[in-house]
Amino acid sequence: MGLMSRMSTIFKAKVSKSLDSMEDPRETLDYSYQRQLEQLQQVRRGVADVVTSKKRIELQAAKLDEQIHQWEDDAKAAVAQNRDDLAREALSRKQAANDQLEGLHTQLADLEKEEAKLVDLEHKLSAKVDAFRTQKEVIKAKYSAAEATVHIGEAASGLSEEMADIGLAMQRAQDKTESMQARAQAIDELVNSGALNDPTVSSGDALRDELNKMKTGKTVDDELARLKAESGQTAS
Amino acid sequence: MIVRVMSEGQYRVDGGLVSQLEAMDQHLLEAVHRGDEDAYHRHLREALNLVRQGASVPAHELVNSDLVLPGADMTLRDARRLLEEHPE
Repeated sequence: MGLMSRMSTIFKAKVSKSLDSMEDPRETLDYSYQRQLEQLQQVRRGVADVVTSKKRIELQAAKLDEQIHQWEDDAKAAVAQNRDDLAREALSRKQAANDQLEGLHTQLADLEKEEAKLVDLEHKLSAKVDAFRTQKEVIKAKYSAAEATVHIGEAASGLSEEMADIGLAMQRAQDKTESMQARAQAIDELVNSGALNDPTVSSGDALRDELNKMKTGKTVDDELARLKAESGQTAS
Repeated sequence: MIVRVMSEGQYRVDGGLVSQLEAMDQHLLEAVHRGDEDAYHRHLREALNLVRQGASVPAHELVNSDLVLPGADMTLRDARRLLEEHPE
């Protein structure tokens, strides 16, 4: 079995089969429709939550940005007082937090796309629920119980597919916002405590971490030289 | 044939394309097993382009899908995890 066929099987397993056991679907059509409206409400709340979380992360990122600028100012003040040791510390915190913040901005841009997709899916789902409402009225008016079972079966599972699709997209967006919140939190701690080897922001690869640290060290040296040049001192 | 592209929507695809899609599906799976990121994205893009040539199923129509394709943003890592979580 290939990837798509496997994907189809997995996806279909998530589609609810709740209508299978119905004796006379005409009697439960209104109930099904009510359930769909409730689910649609849940989806709308879910989308709104993703939007709120994203805004919160954006605010956190803006705040972190300010703090990073503060480290730069502190480093300048330290240079003016000939305290290279303090300047170096301030600059390395600034640098480490800066790298992390860049990553967060990339993730935010990615979440933006995800959000647009969710809004689009929500509109589609809303149209499908509306289509179900129309179909249920036609079915109630025109068909016998046996005929209704055939007609409503496809409509109900077609809608169920739509719900499953948006459910998975929502889950993914929620997972992303959670990992971003954790990242923003880790950067916050990094900026405030200077814990440069904070495991929560480790790349998970010791060699990569070591290389990053080396690069940060080099940048700190360059930045210190720049600040000294700006303040009219010669680099040591 | 109705094909769903996840997080995108459904398309009505000519049944004659099934064999082409099946061949792509096989390539896709091989790329996942090899861990070949370039080939994976190339084959996925090809399959998606083929499906998108079909007519988009209108919003007021409620139909089941015969085949479900991952969205263009599914990474090779996600695809591999999916296969591991749901063995045949």
